[in-house]
Amino acid sequence: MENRKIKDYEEIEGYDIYIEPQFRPFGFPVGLYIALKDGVIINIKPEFGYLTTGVEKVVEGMEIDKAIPFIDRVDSSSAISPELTYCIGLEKTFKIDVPLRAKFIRTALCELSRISSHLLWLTRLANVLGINNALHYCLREREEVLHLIELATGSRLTPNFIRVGGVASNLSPRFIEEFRKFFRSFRKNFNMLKTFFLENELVVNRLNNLGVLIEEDAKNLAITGPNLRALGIKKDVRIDDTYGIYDEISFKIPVGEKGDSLDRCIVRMGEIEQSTSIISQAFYKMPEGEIRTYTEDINQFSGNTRSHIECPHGELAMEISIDEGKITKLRIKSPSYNNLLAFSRAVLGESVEDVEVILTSFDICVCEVDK
Amino acid sequence: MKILLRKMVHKVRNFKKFSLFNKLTNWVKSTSINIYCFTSGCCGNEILAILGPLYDSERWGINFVSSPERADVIMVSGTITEKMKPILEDLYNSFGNEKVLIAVGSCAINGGPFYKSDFVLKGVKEIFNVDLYVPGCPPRPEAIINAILKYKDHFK
Repeated sequence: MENRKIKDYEEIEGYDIYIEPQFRPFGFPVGLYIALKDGVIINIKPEFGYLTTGVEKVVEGMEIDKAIPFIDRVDSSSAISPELTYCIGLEKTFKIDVPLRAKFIRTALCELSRISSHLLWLTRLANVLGINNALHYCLREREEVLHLIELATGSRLTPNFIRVGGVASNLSPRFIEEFRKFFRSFRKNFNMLKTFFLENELVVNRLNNLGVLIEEDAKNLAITGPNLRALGIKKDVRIDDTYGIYDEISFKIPVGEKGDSLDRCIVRMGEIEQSTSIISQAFYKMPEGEIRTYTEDINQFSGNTRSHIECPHGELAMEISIDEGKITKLRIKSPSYNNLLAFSRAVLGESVEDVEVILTSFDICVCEVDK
Repeated sequence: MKILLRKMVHKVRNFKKFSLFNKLTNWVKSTSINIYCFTSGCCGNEILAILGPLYDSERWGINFVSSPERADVIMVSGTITEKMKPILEDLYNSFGNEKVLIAVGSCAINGGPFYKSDFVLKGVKEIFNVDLYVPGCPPRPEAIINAILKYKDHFK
């Protein structure tokens, strides 16, 4: 007990409760200073930085291809999206053509990881709300999705799959067989999952009108992704600034109304359905052919790039500057950081019991916040 | 009086060490084990997967508890930074007398891919004595279950 710096915590004035970071099990180290008045939260200050790995600094001086596994670890729930941001940016400035089949494989895997990320979020929500049967059903579906990702890439969470100019390996015939099996069962099982959350009175009454985010705050804090769409604003990088093959595929963007926790739940549920339809279209249209264009003079590139994509948490952007094939500077703009700030605005006026529910409803990935 | 008391305490401690009581606790630990999980990063997602129906950990008697006082084993996973260090030390001190620690993932073993970074500790072994290592980045759920089961066999 001597090592603990209790004095540091007490020195911050005006806050009544401190929720410690290790309190939250399964990967959520964020501390919270809470100020109360008559049982209602009037001020909240998130304490983060417990997971700072310094990826942006570690990557400096590396060759282009060697940096990809490090950039994987930025996002723990869907690791393929930071890879894609990195590779798309380099392909844009150095004018490398990507084969059409590689583009289809990329989008299919991105949407698969979007489903797995949202299912992980649902398990966390079920854990906080205390619905144990829904937690187990969510984990069962997530295992099937992760099995598919593993068949295609070789790893469950950190694929290291996308390369500059294509993808690392082709899809095996076994993957397509397994995918067809999965696709038949998933829609039926997912409809059952919906009943656990959206047709359950206890859940709906708990989440309704809880943690409402105002549109003004959302604009000031630059919120993107499902949390913004829950307010009713249709903004999606996949349609506004298309990349890959999203312009050839038809899909809807699910939108909420008020911006409370229930709307966030509905929007993410709708996104899972839409991404299953995107994957099925991508497999239907997928052509045969090469999967990667090799460029020999990759070690002589130099220049600056900028790129952004729609990852499951929001808009993920990167700025890369390269000198003779080596990274000199990397800057990552992660959506989860803005979501954490949005949480500190949305939670005002609620009671202490609802803090955990609102925090999980924003889908914050702490690896992304701290980098 | 003081000397008598000391003798009494010594006797009680010896009784605990070599008696039926110790055998009983070991037998309990060999069948069911309580684990406190200190997670951060992607290893936490894999430990969450153990709870699920596919790897169903409770059939082997692996329970996750939410306070270190009730746990037999503390499981540390993910990157441990300088900012995290005082919190982890506090947790370790509030843990019971027989301290057992399992390090999961290459970040907890030696810093992993970020061993060059200034913020990251090069493994839990810098602070505490580690009993078991589970390598992998992140390790598969089967590997984590295998490690816990091996630890349980130690008590038989």
